[in-house]
Amino acid sequence: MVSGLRASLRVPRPDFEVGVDLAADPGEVVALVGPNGAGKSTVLRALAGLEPAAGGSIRLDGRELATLPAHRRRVGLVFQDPLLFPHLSAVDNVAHGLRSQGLRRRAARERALALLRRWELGPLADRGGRQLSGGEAQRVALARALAPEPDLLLLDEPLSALDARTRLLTRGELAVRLGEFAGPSVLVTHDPVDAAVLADRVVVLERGRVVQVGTPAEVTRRPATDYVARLVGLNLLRGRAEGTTVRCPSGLVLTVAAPVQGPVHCVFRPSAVSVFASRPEGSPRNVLPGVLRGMAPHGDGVRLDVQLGTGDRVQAEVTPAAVAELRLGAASPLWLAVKASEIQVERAGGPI
Amino acid sequence: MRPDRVPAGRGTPLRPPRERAPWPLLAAAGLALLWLTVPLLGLVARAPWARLGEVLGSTPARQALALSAGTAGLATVVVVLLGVPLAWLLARPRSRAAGWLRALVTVPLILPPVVGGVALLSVWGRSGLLGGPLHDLTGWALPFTPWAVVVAQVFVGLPFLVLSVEGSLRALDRRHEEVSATLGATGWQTFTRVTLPLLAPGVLAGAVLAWARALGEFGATITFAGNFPGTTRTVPLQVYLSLEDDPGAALVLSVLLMGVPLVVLLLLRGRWTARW
Repeated sequence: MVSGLRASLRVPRPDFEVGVDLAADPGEVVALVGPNGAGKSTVLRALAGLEPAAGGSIRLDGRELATLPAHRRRVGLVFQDPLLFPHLSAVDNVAHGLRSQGLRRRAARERALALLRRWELGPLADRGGRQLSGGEAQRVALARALAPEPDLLLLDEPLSALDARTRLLTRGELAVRLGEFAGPSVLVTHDPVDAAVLADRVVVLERGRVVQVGTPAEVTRRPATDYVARLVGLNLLRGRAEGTTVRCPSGLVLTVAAPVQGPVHCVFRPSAVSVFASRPEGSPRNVLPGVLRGMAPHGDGVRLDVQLGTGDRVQAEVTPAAVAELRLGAASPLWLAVKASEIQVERAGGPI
Repeated sequence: MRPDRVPAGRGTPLRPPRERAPWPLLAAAGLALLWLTVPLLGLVARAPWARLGEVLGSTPARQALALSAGTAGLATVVVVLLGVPLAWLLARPRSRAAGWLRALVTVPLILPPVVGGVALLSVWGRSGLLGGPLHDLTGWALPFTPWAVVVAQVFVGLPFLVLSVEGSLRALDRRHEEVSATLGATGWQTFTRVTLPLLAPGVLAGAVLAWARALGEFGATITFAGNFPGTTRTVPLQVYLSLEDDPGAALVLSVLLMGVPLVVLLLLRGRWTARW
């Protein structure tokens, strides 16, 4: 028996047919990314049984789901909006799935309450959906989805309705919950940071087809299409933070603006990287020596693939004029500078 | 700054003055309002309030009131039990027949009630489509019984509830039901635990409308159920009858027929909008 998710789906849509092969191992988080209308949500809905598929199969731990109605698939689903049942309190929302499994009202409530307490959401238990903030509601929605212990977790843009600050906090919590969840998870997102921080593997979808599969780092380094490059064209470095200093396993040391402790992801845009032919002077920024390994046109600019002295790869985006000015060629030595404030620091999953 | 951009003047009011409504519109709207309210005011003004207790205590009025309360109440229960599922069916996403079904449901709204009564007779009358075999088999016929009153009231009241509930269903975010399904709830569990509670305000509104319509039903009732004191003579029929020999009693009962549903509507209004 193959454990995990092995799906091969064909779902008709008015403009094109979505045809996707998708695999996720137990405990693995697969991010489904792609432009609007690529069919990401369609895939998720088909996996959940909310959208009829024209063909294919969905095998989950050896079980065939494609022929089952949604309520018998044992799949947890979280939408962009929390969609808490407005007539029920938080704890009754979480208890809904347990009651549907045949648990008595009391027992279901007790288990739901225990789960909320474990997640430090106990004080919200008796509040109605309207009395919760966006982030709180989404955390309750996640608890509701996981309470019946589904075999597969599906997340459809779970963070995109939240404001920037709440998003950061909720993303951290989501990372922890995904780390605890034993089954496979599929996360639809159009935020490259979500994909980079939360996912073990990225599947890029365009017009209903898979155009690239790989780890976030692989997809970042070698984007298969222009869209992927724009979407996931982010620099991602993992390390351990002590205050505003992040040490990567390669020996690279970065200075960041916000103090944090523990394992982190450092994310910054290629356009935030400045490139110099000689060491820039007198600035409190991260100055990193490296060697040019590759160069490719990217939109109006040029994207440089730079190997740092420590071996890490960093993407930098410059104008064609700058390429000429810097007289860049193969294996040119150069210096990169990144402002501490441009580096987005995300706590990595797992207990902090 | 782009040259075509005009700098905003300091202290100039940003809100344009509110335009006055054109007088033909105002006049017509005022006339419409009078058209609706003056008759009601006339009713209240002309009613012999001193005879209130005497009229309501009289045997014909008591019989009619009891019959109306009983039949309209029962009709409302039937309307809710049958109408909510019908509305649910009509509002189902991707339902193809919904357009036709909705047109059918609307028919009793535009049908003259007398015609509705005739239609019911043609089905349930002693020689009717279903009433004929029923009478042959059991010797019992539906028309001219209190049950016929209820049947007529359900016939005219059902569309109000169906349309109201269907409207609520369309305003509902159906993803709530999808979430419920992914949590393992069967269609019935989702309907009773999620859909129905979310629909409650719409069901209540529709039930009140249907009940008010049932309470006031006249044409179909007199055609299909007749006008027998104590068995089929409801309050509207009593009003019509009293107009001949005791106009004062007719006015008192009319005020009652107007006032009771109005009070119920006003009481419920705040409640269902304030919820959630």
